[in-house]
Amino acid sequence: MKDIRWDKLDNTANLFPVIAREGMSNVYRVAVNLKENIDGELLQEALNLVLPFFDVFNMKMKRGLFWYYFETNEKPAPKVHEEDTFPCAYINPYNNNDYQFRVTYYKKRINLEVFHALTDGNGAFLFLKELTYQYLRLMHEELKRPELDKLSATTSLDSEDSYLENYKTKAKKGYKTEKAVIVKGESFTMGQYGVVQGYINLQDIKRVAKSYGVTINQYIVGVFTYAIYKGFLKGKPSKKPISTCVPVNLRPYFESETTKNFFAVVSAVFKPTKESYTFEEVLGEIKDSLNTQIDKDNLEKLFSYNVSNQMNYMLRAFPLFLKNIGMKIAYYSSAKANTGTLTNLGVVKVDEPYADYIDSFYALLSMSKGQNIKGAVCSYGDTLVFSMSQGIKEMDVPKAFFRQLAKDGIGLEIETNGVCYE
Amino acid sequence: MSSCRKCGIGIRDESKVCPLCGAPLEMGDTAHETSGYPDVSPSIKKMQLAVKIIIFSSVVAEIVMIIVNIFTKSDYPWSALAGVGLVFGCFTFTFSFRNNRSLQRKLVIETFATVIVIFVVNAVVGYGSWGLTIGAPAAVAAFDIALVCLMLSEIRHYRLYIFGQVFMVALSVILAIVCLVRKESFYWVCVGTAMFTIIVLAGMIVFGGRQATGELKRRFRV
Repeated sequence: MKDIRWDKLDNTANLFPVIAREGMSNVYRVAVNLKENIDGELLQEALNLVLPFFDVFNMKMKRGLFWYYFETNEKPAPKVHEEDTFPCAYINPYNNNDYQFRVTYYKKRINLEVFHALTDGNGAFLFLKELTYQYLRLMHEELKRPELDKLSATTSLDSEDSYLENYKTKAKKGYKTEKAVIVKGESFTMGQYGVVQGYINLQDIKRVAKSYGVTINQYIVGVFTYAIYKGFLKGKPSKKPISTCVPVNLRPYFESETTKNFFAVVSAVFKPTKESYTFEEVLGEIKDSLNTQIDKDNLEKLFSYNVSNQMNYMLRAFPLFLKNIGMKIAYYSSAKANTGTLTNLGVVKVDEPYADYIDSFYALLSMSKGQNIKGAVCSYGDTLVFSMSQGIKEMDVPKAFFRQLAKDGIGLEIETNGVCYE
Repeated sequence: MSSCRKCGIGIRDESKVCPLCGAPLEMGDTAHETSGYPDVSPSIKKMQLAVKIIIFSSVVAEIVMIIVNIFTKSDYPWSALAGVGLVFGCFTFTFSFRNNRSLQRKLVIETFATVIVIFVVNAVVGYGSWGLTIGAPAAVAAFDIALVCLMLSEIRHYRLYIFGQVFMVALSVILAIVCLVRKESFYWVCVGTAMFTIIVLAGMIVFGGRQATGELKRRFRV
């Protein structure tokens, strides 16, 4: 009998099984829009072929006495089916062949929805791209060439825990607990939420960001913050700051190619203390806030505290149910310290033979405790897709967000998941 | 593709009003063909509704029984016993009747719940410590036999049941120790159950070889 392959959860992943439930799934979506309708059977075949190469995805999660852990999943790949729920719905592994991700399709779109314990958006995009390449090879005769019938040279299969490889032993608490503005409104019923996606001209947004003297990321976070200031606070002063979680991909800073989670979260903070702020003033504060936090030393500090706890012999000896209680307390005490989350997954590049078949990519986040508004950004070709998800019915924040882009002269089109019309 | 003059943006949805501001849209010529989203109308899950109905009826039934128990001036707290039964029934229905957990997990949790119910019933009705000496160990033995049968039906994946068996051993050993410490005269059911669960676990490890020990190492990794 062969030995069972198993793996530890990375440092960030330890939190997700503790807090995940219906209504707070901790599942995110990465999706690709092709230029043709999807064939479900071929997509299933593509998944069956690609999955064995990706150890990070080909796993089931098990509960030990002291830790959760991953073990190779010997069951068949999860069943591919047409999208029939709200995006990022809770994944119950028991009904999904024990897998922690799902693949669905709708018209021309392939959706990969991933429980965050497996990997972050960068790891998910690697898997989605390989799945798409394999699907296209099965679909199109002209792509059935021997030199293409392998994983892409740019695909990493490294599954090291880069947190453990790079943490510093002595670090102070990295997460904050000061309360931030919470965007409130009429909630959707559990499991539902609104999606508004903007398909934005990349050249336009580059030009505008440059004219303000900021990066694209800073500009988008600035507009997001301004939209909350104008759309929710109605431009009034607040005792609490608008604080936006901005996950930062740590791979370039630490020369990692891991397919597991490897990110740290900084907070873009703007506190409206006076009567009125212009967009330029808000953007300036966001730029300064991000610039002071996004450097290698600070990012190292942010994750080192959590990793040092994980490595502490005393804490390791606590049974899992006690660790879970501790992590829940820490999570809920800091959950209201952020207004929303905005993640930028950067530029998605695909291998040349497949580019003609692909229209766009996008990412989408699910709701979490205290955060009723989130955004996810990625770009492909000449289009940057901004996906805003929100747990409330009011459209004031997305309206303020997209109107600010339009006001700056950026060409954009939006699409929703329809719940705003109900 | 349509557009909203107020917001200054194009709208890909098939709609006559702007999703952001509700203003009427201006219809354009060319449409960007888009996948959009399926119409997922919110459906009330049947199981959630059934759970709500059962819990609500149980609460109403228990209140009625307590009132009847008080007004009939009965010395016997039969409504408390019925209440324990209702709580256990509701727990079993919500936890074990759903198709979202493995049978092994359901068995282990139901064993714990049953032992607690037996102790509570014993405390209410009295008649010595039959809950500890017979009731609880008999329940553990019965559930453990069920677990073994389940394992035998899935013999290829026997190692998945080792962790459940460890819990059965822990529970039965605790019961046996309590029995012996309290110097119960009728202790052999407790001790026999503990021996049975230990033997089953030992058998799993001996016959399972490296697979079984590997599973235990992973499960107990500190």
